[in-house]
Amino acid sequence: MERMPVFIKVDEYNEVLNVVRLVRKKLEESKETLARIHELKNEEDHQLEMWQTTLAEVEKKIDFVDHSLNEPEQF
Amino acid sequence: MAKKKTTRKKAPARKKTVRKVAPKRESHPEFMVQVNEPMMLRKDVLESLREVIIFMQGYEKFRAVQEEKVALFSVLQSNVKELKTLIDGKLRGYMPKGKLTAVTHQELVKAELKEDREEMVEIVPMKSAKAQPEEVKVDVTPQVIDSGPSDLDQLEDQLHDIENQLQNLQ
Repeated sequence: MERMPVFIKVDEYNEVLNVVRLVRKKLEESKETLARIHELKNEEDHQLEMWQTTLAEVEKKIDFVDHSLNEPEQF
Repeated sequence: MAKKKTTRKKAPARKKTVRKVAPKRESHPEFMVQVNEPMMLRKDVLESLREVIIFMQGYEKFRAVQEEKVALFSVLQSNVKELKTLIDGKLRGYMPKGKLTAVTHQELVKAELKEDREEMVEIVPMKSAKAQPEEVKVDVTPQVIDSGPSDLDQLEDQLHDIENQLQNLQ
């Protein structure tokens, strides 16, 4: 008797099922939103990497220009 | 013969044009510096400019992505709030409140075996206390309505509450 299974009467069983269905739907929506945020974050990371590369290229070119201007052929 | 009078129209007075005299520049000798590899220099300057423009275009794109991300964050936040309402407000309301532990199949079998043994012991003429059915104590935990100053504090309190309940379950 002390360890008997406990049965709980659920009066509004259908409503509970509907709520669970709704929760599942919301979870799916949230997962999709989160996936899209993750995609956008990847895009941002990619863009940041591209900027880093671009800045390095520009720096290299400006170094060359600076070098050329500072060491002219005839002065 | 009488002289014919002729009247001359006066010509409109000419406006005096004042020539602006440019300030005299001090004449410096114009020196030139010949740079090395002029073509490469021009090319590098132009390419740098092009890359800076591409960079700025990328910035616009980046801003658009960030705006979309912020909008999605708010959508996600509202979704999670709705989930909280559904789980905490509705689903939890349907469930019984109390410290009831679930009975596994193994525990059930053990309990049955134990009962059988007790029954066998009862065959022996001994005074044994009759097993009295124990009342299932249902502790109704009062729901604490938090009136904290911020949402974060409320959430923290709720989290503590849930953690306590989980510990009780274990």
